[in-house]
Amino acid sequence: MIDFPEISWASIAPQTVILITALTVLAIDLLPRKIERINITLTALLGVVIALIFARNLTPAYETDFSGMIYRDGVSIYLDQLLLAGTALILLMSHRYAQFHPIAYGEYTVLLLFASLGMMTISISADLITLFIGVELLSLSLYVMSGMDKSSLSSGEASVKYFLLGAFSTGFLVYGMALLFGACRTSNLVLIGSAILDGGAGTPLLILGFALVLVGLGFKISLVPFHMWAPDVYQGAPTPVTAWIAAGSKIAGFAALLRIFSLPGISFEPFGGYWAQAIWWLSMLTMIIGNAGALVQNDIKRMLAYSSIAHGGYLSMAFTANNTVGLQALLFYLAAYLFMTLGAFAVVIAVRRNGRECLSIPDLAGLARQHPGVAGLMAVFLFSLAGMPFTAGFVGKLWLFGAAIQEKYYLLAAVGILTTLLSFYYYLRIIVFMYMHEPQKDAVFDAVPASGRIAAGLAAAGVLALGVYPNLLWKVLAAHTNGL
Amino acid sequence: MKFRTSCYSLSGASAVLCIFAIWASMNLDAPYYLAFDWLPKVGLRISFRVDSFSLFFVTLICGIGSLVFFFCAGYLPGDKSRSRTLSILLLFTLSMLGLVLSDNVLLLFIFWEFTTITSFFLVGAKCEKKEAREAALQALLVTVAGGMALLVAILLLFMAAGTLELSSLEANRQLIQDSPLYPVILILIAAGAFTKSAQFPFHFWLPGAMTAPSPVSAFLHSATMVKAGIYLLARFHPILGETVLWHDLLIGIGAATMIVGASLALARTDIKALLAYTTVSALGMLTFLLGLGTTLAMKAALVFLLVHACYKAALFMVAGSIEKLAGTRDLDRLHSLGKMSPALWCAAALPALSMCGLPPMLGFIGKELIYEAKLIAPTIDELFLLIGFTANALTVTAALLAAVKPFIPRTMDSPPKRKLTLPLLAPPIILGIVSLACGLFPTWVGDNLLEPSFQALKGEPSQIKLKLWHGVNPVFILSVLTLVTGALIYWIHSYFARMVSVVERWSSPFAPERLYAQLVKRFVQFASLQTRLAQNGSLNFYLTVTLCFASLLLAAAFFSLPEKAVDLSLLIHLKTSLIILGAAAAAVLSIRAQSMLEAVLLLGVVGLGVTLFFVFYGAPDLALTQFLVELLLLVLIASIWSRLPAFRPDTPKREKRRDLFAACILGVFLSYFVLQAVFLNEHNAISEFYAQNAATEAFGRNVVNVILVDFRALDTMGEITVLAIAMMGIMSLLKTRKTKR
Repeated sequence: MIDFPEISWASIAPQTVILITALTVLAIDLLPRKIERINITLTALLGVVIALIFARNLTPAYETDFSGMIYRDGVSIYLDQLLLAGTALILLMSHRYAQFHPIAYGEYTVLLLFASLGMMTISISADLITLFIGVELLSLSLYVMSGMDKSSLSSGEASVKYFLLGAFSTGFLVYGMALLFGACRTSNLVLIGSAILDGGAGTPLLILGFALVLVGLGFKISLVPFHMWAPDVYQGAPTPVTAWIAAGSKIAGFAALLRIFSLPGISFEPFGGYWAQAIWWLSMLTMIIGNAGALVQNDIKRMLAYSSIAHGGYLSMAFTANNTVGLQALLFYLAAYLFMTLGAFAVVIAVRRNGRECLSIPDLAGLARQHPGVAGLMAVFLFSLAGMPFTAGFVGKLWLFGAAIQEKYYLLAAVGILTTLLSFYYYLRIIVFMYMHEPQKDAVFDAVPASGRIAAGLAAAGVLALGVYPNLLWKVLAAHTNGL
Repeated sequence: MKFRTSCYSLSGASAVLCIFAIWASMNLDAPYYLAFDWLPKVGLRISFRVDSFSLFFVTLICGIGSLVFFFCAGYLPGDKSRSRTLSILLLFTLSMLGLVLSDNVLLLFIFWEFTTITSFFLVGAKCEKKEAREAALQALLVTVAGGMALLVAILLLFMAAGTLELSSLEANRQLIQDSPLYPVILILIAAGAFTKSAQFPFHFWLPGAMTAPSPVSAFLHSATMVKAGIYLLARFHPILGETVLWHDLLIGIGAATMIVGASLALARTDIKALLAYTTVSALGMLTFLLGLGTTLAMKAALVFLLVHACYKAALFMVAGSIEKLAGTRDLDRLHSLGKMSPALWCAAALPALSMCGLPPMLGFIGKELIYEAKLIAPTIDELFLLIGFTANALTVTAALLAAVKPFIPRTMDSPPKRKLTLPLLAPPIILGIVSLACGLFPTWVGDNLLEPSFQALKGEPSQIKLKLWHGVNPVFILSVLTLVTGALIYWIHSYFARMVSVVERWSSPFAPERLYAQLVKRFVQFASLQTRLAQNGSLNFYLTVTLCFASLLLAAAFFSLPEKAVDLSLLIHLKTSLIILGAAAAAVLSIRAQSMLEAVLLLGVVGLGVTLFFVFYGAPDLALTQFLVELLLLVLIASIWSRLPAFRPDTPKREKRRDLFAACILGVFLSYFVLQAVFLNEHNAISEFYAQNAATEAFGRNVVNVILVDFRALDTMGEITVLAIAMMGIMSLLKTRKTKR
């Protein structure tokens, strides 16, 4: 008999449930009878909800498991819950979207679940190899998903661009990981951490490894100057996929950064000095270029792409600040970012005119008159993205800037605040169109479906709850970040 | 009917609150606190402080608010978006109340931002007009910029003092003033206040915002929102005040604003624009007084706050009624309104008297106090006295222009009489009567409203009694001179206006609104330029940029290395150097390949070189894997050979050179770092572990197999999943192609 090592299956329960759900959906989809879309959506949603329940009931065990492959800590439990909530929202949005676009819905749902599984694999990984598998699972699923709208040429273009550039960045990532492995003689992140503590972080191989990993992950979270794929892909991909690239893939990218750069035991250590400086530059560039780019966009998806780039800049501030407040701020802002971004996309998906998507900003003119509820929700998301008080975005930004100022990164915080000012300009532009412009000639918006209302409503509830009562999350974060 | 009812009920509620605030202010002994935690980690507590200074502002907000809501019932019907305007006005009132009642500075900032946003929607209420939208955006951007400055100041304040409660900040006054951050904090807070209160050079948004409906202007742009900046400065006076910097900054900016606002006012022919510029001037006066900071000046500021709120709100309402009556706000075309509606003239005359500072209005007492404060202030120049005098005289002229000129008949024939509804007339008349009553009974107002709020602000009684008649003294003479000069300027105001216009035209390239417009334009230009350049859609270009920046990152790492020498001894081996040379040659040749087949084969040679490396350095399993991968690639390419497009190496020369450069730079850095790390290869810990344990632990003799299916089983499973998904992706893409055909 083979002795199995001690494995706590409970700690990967959410991941397992998602995997089983994905396979179930795949099986259902392969049945010879035609399956209604609603059944697929409900099956997937059921799986996500069960996984969410499992994730909620997990207790963090601050040690590695599965022969050092995974590490179940509070942060990973938290991120799993975020990602699952996001998946549920995306499922709601996709359901409606597939009604109008020729998408193979069964396969699409399976891929979506696999992408989420990949993200959740990243969040629990304690080994470079597990992490890499997560990154690849997520990326490959998203590459395919971006090209799934067969009626649209730009969807295909987006897929090819995403794939080629993504494959290239994966090359950087895996090269970097190999060098880290070479430098520390282990792929286990905890052991890498202690090896660095023993031998110092300055050896050339380590520097090279970290630099290449940074390039690879910088691509995933679209830090300037590795962001250039984002606007093209966001614009071309089917809108729910865009939403999941914007929210899920970015959260996963930051989860990976957290895993590599703030491991248990070394907590941000490699970032001391040199790395903080590198991220400082990247986040400066990202905030400036991202916001400046968003300023001149006329396409909502492209605008949201730049806005998502810009938010990557704010988020990465936490790595420069490199302190506990920064880490908590990062985790909080990820939740805020998830809800406000997905909410905005949910509205973009829900609002259609004569059966077509309203993708340019002037298309939204007069929305408030016809659908005051939906326009109001959109206003909430935009205000949150801009950082208005009483929304999650404000608390998150305040927390992040506070962390930067605490470490005396004044210039960084100042640029953050100035670019926030800029962002008011382009977020409000949409509000101006929704509320202050006359509707275009004989333009009648279609009825907004229940699924869209539910998705946007839930996201808005998240944005407002976190904005009005941040303590909701604050206590959780304080407990989870204790182990670091 | 329903809309009117809601106006009246809002008006009634505000009036009750206003009376309650006055009663509370009379009976409040010590500040009343209310607090609970919100986000203590970043200093954010929901904490309110009710003291008499706050209550003074509450009185102003609710009192004027009540009348404005009443006015709305007459002004807004017929407007498409009236309900929205009314509900936003209500929101605005609530935010304003929150602003003056919060004790936590961050909470104050939050309400501050809310007043900005609600005012954005109110200014843009007539949104079908392009100017209204632009003015709304301009007002928003300027005030939000100030808000951001305020936010930075608050964060710095938290660093300096460790608390954000106004009440404890006052206790830490010395700590803050000694901190090296003090000047930055002060300047940033002042910047926030100056943008909100339309101080020079940020004043231009206020006249622009006159596209708002009249009740909005009466409420936001005279009595409340623009006073928020003044409130902030007054609140921070006990914390940051009484230093040279505070003194110079506020007096300088205040004086400049005073004179600029008053002179520009006369060159305007739109009544509301004229009133807006006089508001700018009045706000400058308030800033000036706060800059002086003496007991007398602070008291004068409080009186003037009340005076100005009463007369300016009334005049804005009158301007709205005039527009309703005559269909225009153009001063050049307005005349004989007195005959059309005597009641309106009466409504305009009372506040105008207060604005001129004629006894027995409250305005007279205010002006007396201001002159007195300036005369006995120990630290200021005569120049400032002159500026104040000129500004006051010009204000008198402006009052005559706005409230007298439109009513004087120009021709003999009398236009038909028109009746205005009660809601349009009553509020300005009530405000006029309040000004009069306060002027007649100054002691009551002084003792019950102004003195408690002064005490709450400064912590000590002022010992200054408000009186209508002081006897003939220098102050009184100055007052009379002001009136006379004002009247004289009214006589020649058309010349004066022309002169101001000339100066304005001459200085227009340097005007702050031009600079603002230029800034916005330039930035949008920069943004679109960078987007056009960087986001040109070419994958090739994206890759090049990525490579260059990766090299930059490595270059930075290179310069931080303590030891830069490289051990090249590894390259001296014959075998190694041959392999390297071969692979490198193949790589270079593949770039120049003339056909697809050639390119693929040459790349295969590079891969083979790597395989050989593995063979020679004791990793036959890896060598095998590498070889198989190379083979698989070849097979894959062969299987889709027929579908590939023709091979055309048609990249322009310039791009080729650019790509070559990027590739070389990255190549050099990568090689350098790898060579740097060569010495690490001595350790062989990993393979030894697997070799030793494969048979004993996993009962397998093929180590590679054992690693794949046992030691790293989970990874293998993951890899299989990835492969499966990749296959699915390829399948679905291939299927797409088929269905298209």
